[in-house]
Amino acid sequence: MGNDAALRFDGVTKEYRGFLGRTPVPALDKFSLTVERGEIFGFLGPNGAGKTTAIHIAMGFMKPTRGAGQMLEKGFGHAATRARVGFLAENVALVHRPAESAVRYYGALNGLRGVTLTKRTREMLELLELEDVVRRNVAKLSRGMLQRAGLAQALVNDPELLVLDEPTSALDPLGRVAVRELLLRAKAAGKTVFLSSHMLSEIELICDRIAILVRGRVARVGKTNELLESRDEAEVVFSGASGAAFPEAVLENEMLRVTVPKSAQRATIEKVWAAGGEVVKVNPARRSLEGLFVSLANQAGPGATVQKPGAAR
Amino acid sequence: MRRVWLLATNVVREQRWFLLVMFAYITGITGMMLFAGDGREDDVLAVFKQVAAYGTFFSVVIAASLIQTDRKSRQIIAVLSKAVTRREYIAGMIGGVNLSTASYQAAVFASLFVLFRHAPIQTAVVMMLHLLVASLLVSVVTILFTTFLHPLLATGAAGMVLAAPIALEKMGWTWWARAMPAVALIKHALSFTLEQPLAVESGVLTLALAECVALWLLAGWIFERRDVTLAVE
Repeated sequence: MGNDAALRFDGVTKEYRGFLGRTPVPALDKFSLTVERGEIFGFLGPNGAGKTTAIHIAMGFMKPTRGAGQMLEKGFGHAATRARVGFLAENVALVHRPAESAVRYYGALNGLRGVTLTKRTREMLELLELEDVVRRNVAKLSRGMLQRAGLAQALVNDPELLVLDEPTSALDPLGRVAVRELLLRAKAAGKTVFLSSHMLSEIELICDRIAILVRGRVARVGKTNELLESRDEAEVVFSGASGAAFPEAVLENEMLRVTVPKSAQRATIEKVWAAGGEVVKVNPARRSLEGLFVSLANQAGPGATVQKPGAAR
Repeated sequence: MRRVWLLATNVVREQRWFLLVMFAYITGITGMMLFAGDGREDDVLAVFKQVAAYGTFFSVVIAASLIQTDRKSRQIIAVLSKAVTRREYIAGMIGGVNLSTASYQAAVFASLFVLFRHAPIQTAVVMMLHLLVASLLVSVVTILFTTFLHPLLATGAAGMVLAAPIALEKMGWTWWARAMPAVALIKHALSFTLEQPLAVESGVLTLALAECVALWLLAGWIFERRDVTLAVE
């Protein structure tokens, strides 16, 4: 736990109380996680796993039942710290004003004023390609446009930490690419991005580290590459040997690829050589993020999701 | 302070249609009294006082649903994701209600001079001051209850607290009756006549303002401990 943590949860438990305080339902269970500064962190989990609850606790919208945490070295809910944070909610809801006025309003609430506020507002509207709708009331924007306006208000204060809950769920493929580039630019500028998303391909592409949350607990956390590498299997890529000796091999770019258990790796290489082939490379087998996600969710059983009584969706 | 002002003006902006209807109502009733009053000054004054007293009622109506509406629409999330404390948020809501009420009372004030050209300005100002402070207290009490109750229950609870002095006075507990001076302020404001100057009840005004500050702090303290993103039903 370095001092450089942008976001840190320390054993956070959140229980939703039922009617008249009966039957508390845990949404987060001794949840601990550290997001280092300057990284893009992917936060995954099945529906109801507690992702939004964790984010809302970090932003100070909810109080944890037990445990605590820090955001930019201040306790959760510290208002002045939120001036250095950009937040986009899962279901964006903004004040019903023209888009430019709405972004200005949120910038002003974060302490921006005068020329800086005007400049940042215009830059964000331009960056999110909202120039054509600056005078249109946000209540009349399409869902994709509203999400862009939501991103604009999250970015207007040039935040050190971006907390984004499903930022691309309503965007078309072009919009998703644009947001991905925007997040990579933010990272290059030294910002931290905490990103919750169900777009696994997107997470796999841009996140330095990921955490998978199941039943309110971290089921797996680590560097994206390391998590996707299999510890039990290896991929052997070779050429020059007859495919007949390797019926399970897959032909790719005029080379054959076979996935074998780590224990059979040496025997496979020797078999390639015996068949007159040449081993091109041997790598740990890589699985998809989707595969990892599904296997972790399945391990947790059919009740992997936690239903919050009356909780905001 | 700037954040409170931004939140307050946003409330007024959201209430603009309601306020326009109220302005139309004041204009209409003023016109009616002017042309149909038929020189019956006492009757016109009685109707005018009724219209002036509505301002405090509107405070309750506007204040009761503000937080609930913000939570249900989820707009509160974007606001509280900024550098806004819960106490500032509550102050913004109170400020918004009272800017709305003040604009209503300004129209009532103008109406007084349309109806009674000889109305003494000092009396009118003192009356307005008492009504505005009463509205402020009423709105703070209502918002305090809405931090932890459904708007309907909060309205009921606020009504009971604000009207309690009437019952307490009848029971002879006059000292306790003075503890919540909203009704006393309204009564005093509406006791004005066109002939006699209206005294400033500085003690009652000071008590009311002190209670507003204390109850605002209490509302902020309670709201600070509430989860704002849970369903509000």
